[in-house]
Amino acid sequence: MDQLVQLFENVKNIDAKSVVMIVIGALLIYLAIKHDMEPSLLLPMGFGAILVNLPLSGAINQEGGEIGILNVLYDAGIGNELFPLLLFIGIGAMIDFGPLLSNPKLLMFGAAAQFGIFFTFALASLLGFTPQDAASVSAIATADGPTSIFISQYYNSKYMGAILVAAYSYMALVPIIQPPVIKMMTTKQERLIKMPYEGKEVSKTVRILFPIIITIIAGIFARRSVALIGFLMFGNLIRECGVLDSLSETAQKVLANLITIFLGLTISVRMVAADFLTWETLLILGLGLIGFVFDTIGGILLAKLINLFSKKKVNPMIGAAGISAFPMSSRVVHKMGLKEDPHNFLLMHAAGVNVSGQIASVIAGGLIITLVAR
Amino acid sequence: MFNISVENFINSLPVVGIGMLGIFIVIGLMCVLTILFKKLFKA
Repeated sequence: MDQLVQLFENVKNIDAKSVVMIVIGALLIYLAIKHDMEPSLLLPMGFGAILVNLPLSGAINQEGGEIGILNVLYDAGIGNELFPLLLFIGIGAMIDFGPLLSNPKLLMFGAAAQFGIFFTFALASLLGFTPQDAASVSAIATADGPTSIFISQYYNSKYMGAILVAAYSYMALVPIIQPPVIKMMTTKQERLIKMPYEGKEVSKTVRILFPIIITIIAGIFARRSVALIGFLMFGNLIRECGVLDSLSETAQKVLANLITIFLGLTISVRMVAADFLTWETLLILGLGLIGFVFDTIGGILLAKLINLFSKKKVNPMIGAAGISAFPMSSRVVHKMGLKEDPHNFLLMHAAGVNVSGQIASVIAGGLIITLVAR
Repeated sequence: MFNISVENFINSLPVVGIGMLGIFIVIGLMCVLTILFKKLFKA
């Protein structure tokens, strides 16, 4: 009889907050499957949220010394920033910097489109977040998962769960977030500016030197970003060198997929009800959205500024592609360009700006953790 | 819900200024060096 009672003992530990989190987990899974919203991260995060919010879940550490496997994985891969760095090798191996190397000036739009990170930092500070938490929240506006994880883990932020849900959700929602902002910030005439693509060939030597140069410069000016930018550029180097095709393929497919599986599931350790269901989570979701909006505005404003002084006009919409959400943002800009003029192909310019955003977001993240002490 | 902190906001402004300046300097340098290397190692 005692054993029968024992079977139902855990039922009394179910509470309302945990049920809400389980529903949120189910919602993330629904969004991932039904609406194809960043499924590689949102689905494991959603399922992980369910795992960690079951009463006295055996998947996470419990009082009395019970060790949970998700905490073991968290300490092994996120607590020491290993997983996001390994994922960056895969991402670097996937990126083709060709469109950017054809026109290196596009790098500047990537820089401008990181404005949202610093704007969000200031706004979060105004709203009462500590500098460290404000820096963690501003990481959402990097529009880059591994960088967001790296920064929020660097500060050991208790808001990591909310930050990552926001970051990955908004990355998936770029086709909804950006177009109204782009339309608001540009005139019809500006959106019609034609940018023919010249497609200058880039030598293999330059393709090999580029990741090395980027790493050295970033390392000198933002030393704490060396691991992030270094691993990203290492991935790109094994792609471009031409003698490591099997390693490149492994990095792009096997490594990236393996780490993604662990990453999504493990992040859910930070999605326990007590940490996630707070007013600050709503605030963070709002701040993240503002970050994405101001990233878009920053890129567009630089293009408009250039047009004041340059005879060769730039379509300001490509500035919006400087947000690091690759390749979504470049496709959004290209589609908007075609809508205005079916003969205006902005894709290659937008793709160049988009990959520059990837580099700039990592450097911006490195600068934030250099400027804001732990 | 909101703990408005003007002091935190004012303290954040140097980070914003130096951060944006910093990113333009670093990216600008990358841009210049890339153009230079492209000229040196033409396809």
